[in-house]
Amino acid sequence: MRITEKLKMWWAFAMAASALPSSYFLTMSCCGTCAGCPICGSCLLAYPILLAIVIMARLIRAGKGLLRQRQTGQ
Amino acid sequence: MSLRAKETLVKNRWRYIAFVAGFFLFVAPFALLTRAVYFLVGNTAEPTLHSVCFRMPIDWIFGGRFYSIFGSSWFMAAFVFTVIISSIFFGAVFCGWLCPVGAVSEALSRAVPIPKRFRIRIRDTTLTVSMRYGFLVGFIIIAFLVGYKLASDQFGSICCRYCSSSVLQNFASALFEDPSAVGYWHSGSIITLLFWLLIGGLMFSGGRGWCLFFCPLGALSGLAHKIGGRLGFYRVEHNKGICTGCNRCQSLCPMWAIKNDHTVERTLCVNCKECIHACDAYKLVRGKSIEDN
Repeated sequence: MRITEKLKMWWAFAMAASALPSSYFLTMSCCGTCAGCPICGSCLLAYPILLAIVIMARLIRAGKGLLRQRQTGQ
Repeated sequence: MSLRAKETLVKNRWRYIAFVAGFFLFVAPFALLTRAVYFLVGNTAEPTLHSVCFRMPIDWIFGGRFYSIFGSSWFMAAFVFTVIISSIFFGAVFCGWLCPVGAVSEALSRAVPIPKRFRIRIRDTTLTVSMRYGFLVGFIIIAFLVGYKLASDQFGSICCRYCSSSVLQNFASALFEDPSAVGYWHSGSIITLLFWLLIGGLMFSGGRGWCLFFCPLGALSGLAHKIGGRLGFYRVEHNKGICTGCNRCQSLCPMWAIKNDHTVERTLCVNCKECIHACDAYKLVRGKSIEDN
């Protein structure tokens, strides 16, 4: 496995591993004071995280297509 | 319906029948399996999909709440352990054949004809695996911190905040029992519905986005299947010798488990046999690998 692939793999792992804890802890202040909603303010981060995942997946796909095009010269 | 869709439907009919069976076995008001077990052990509680929660026992283990496993929720824990241990021998067949949560999103994906170019698919399996196990690690970290009182547990554990099983159970209850059950919405369930059915179901190719990234039971079953595959138990293998490289297997696999060289990534594979039914190059094997024979 090339070093870029390894980096990409570990980057994706780290991003995914930090998504839940960060959404849980960063919203604690909202959660601790109100708790009016059952998700404790996680919506503050959950929507951007979900959207980021979708956009990242799209970008990776587009980037790979572009690279493949350059490699094949078509 | 196109000719290919019809062919897929016929060839995989047993799995689609199993999807329906899974719904009746686990989801209330039916919950036939849970009802049967409760009847045998004399439990008078009314069973629902929560009676066999796919995530809470995992939350308890990593949070050190072993008393929950051996206490009144023993059936829930026994069910999860059975699923994981059976994955060693037969692959993650519960995920691929019986899980009602995965079945609903996959069925929705297949039923709604969105053009492929509008659907998301990560072709690099290492990336998918990294993200899947990354989310599992995040889930375990929260379970550990909350379980050992290192973080506030005032508002419940992480697995109950985003619970696709609750959403499905409430839809089923509203459909078959009390229509007011559908009024259960809160922001967590809305986010779950969005990711489980809209993004993970409709927009992800194969409709298994939730299973791929947010199901800890699926991730652990995948690991168990990888171990089982190495030990020589049932697994799907690819025969390079007769592969034509048409990539049909990749487009059909709901779990994105076919690598670019067409071998199978076992941590993602749920032994659904879609690839086997579509191409002769794939076979379900036990013991020696195809190349050794």
